[in-house]
Amino acid sequence: MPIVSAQNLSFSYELRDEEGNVAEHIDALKGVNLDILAGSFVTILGANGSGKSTFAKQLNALLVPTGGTVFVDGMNTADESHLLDVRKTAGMVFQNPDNQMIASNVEEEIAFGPENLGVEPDDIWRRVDMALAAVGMNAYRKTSPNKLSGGQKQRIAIAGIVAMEPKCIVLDEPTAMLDPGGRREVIRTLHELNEKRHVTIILITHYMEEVVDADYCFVMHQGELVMSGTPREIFSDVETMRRLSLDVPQVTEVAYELQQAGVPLPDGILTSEELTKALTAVRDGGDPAAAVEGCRRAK
Amino acid sequence: MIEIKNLTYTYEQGTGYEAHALNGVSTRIPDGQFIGLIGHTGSGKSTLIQHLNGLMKATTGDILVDGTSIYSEHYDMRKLRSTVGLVFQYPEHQLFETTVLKDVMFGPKNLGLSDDAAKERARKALELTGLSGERFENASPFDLSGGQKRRAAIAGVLAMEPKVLILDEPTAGLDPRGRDEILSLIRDLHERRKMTVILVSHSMEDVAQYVERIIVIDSGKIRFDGTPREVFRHYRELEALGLAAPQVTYLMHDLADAGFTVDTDAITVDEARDSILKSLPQFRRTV
Amino acid sequence: MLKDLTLGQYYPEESPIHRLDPRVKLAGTLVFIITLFFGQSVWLYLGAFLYLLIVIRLSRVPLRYIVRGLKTIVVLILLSALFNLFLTPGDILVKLGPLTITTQGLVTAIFMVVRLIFLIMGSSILTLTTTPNQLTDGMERGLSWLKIFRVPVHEIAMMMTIALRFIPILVDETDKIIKAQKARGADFESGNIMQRARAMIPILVPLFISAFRRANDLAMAMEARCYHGSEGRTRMKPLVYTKNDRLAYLGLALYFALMLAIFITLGSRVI
Repeated sequence: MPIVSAQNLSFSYELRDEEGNVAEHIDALKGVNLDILAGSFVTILGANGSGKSTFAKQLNALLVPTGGTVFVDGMNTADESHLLDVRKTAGMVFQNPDNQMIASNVEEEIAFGPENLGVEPDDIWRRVDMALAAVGMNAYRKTSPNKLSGGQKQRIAIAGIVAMEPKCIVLDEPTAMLDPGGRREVIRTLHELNEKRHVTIILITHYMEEVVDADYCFVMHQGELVMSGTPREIFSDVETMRRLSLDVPQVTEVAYELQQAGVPLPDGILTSEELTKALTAVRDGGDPAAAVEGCRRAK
Repeated sequence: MIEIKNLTYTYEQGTGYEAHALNGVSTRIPDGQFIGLIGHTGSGKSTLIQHLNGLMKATTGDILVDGTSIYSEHYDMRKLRSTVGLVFQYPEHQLFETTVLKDVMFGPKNLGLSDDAAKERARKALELTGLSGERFENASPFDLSGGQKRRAAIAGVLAMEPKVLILDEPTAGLDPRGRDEILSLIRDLHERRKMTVILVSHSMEDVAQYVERIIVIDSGKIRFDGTPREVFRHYRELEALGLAAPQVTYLMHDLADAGFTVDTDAITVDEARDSILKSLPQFRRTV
Repeated sequence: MLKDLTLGQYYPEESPIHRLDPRVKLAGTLVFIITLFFGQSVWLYLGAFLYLLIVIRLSRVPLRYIVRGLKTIVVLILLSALFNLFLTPGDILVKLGPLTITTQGLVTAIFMVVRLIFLIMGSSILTLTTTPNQLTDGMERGLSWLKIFRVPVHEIAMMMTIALRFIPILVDETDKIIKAQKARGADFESGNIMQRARAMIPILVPLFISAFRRANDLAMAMEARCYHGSEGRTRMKPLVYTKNDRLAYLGLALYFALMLAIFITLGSRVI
């Protein structure tokens, strides 16, 4: 069963002018259909205004559909009696780490979610320990969030969600405000959570290199779901990605340019290793597609 | 030209917690250069750029702008700020006026210009940033899209007509299109307006593609200074500093290890393509 | 600069005072402040001084750290001393041109200075030894009886927690905005009051917008983490009284009784 299922999901809102009259009618989501499998690592790509943040908020019942339905672990998000259960199942991390922290020290910050759920004190302590370990921040449990780096703050925000023991974590551009080091820390943490604790990760991002290692990828454009597939399938279509004003990883771009120049390379080369193997095959008169395939299987 | 001489800035001087944000930085910034300044958060790069337009005062050392020390007596700080324009990170957070035009006029008016002169400059700056016309001029800055807000804020600094433009991560938080718009605007200012540009960036790919010189700063010191090709040759050392090289650099090294005779100094997609094609005998003609 | 404010910033240490229940410390601070207003008697102040000395020693916060905090309010202390010194009517002691110092003025000024210093030291001990979260917890639990009068105790405590967390962030933000506007040639230092007030607009508008944006983000983040008021909410560190807390209450009661006794015996006499 999918952990998240959006069925013909639409969301629109009205902009009002100063007199309170409806000035504009905005369709942020238009008939989105998608399923996300439990335990997978999924990314959502899209330019600003493509509707991807609006979609993320649907999964946490911060917004509810104006058309269609969203199911989170089988629960309809529009059903208010499930509100806390939905939020507990699909935790959410936001872009600015400063604006999502409440407490003045790390362990109390992480305890905030479980406290809201009415978890017994002993169990809160266990969960805080577990969450700190899961994001590798044990050494900072008494520290003030103001003294942490951006990457560390974001890991604490993730720990705050992990302590609620969700099945799924939705992250809305969690690395947009971080430097490359912080970005790597956060992405590594997410992959660890996915692999070791089988938490479903839904990552919204602008950084194509964060997409490469995902299981599956959705691309949104003007409120619609326009592409979906493995990162390899998505990045195979360099022209469409460019038309949607999105990037592809630099290595994929080099491979695409070489293809245009007549080099017989297969589509969807993602890593330096794959391109090196493929080019070696081209040079030595072998089969580049088989070389890339071999490279993938070895992984 | 800006000359930085042995600049040191110490936090919390005189207490137990002294920390050097800058530790003996010396360099020259000739007119018309496009420089990329890179370093991880807390490396001292933000502190350095704030010194360049007098927002912070060095503990020791000196900065000469066109031969005059900015720390000399009676030095006109306002003139410095109109010579060296500084665009902060997330500059759209400093917008405050009721219309875009008025907001962009704020800088020129602070320089003592008349309303008409300020308006003229503001219009020129808005045109440069692609926000010209009634529609934008009279709009509230808060009704613009994210990328437009950022360009309006940059226009606010451009309207002061600085010779040197410093931008602190001007593409942070933008999507790929917004990023390309800002970077091509900056390139345009450098190429056509002959402005000196210092671009602080976390994106090695962007820096590799646009700038002619890279300064790497770490623990308040300049660690590398040279052309992008020269600097990215030290990609292993850059990694140790929490930085990296463009993805292409890694690809070229992998290829070289696999026996290809490629240019390991290639740092952009185009350079990589040409170099790889040259190394494949059967495609050599196409280059 | 606001950042140099050491007054009342939490001082991490493992002391008996740090370990006390925040409700005890809140009560202690309240009792101490009340006794400071019992009257102007050397004995009363000696009692308060002893109390302060014992508490500070037990808290293991270095005295110079507390004294350094006082520096920020030296002007306030001096001003109130001067007003009392020159403006209290009574028997003239010294005449300095148009100004006169009276015996009563001198006495009041001295007591005023001592009282203010004791007041600040006594209350900063509370914040020095109690984390903001413990403090708000203590208030929430200690004042929960106010709920009978429909006082939203939990909400007030939550607001305090958030305020404490966001003050340093907004201070930083103000600093950044000032610099950004200065880089656009803004001048905050010259001109008359009206001009200076106008010059604040480019700081205040962005600051308000930023505060609203942060508040909006935070509200959403809290909601996403299942925050729904105090109902059904548990605490990671529930407040439970220990033996030491009971002992502290006993000590506090003794101190109060002693001070009350002095006050009743001496009345309004100074010595």
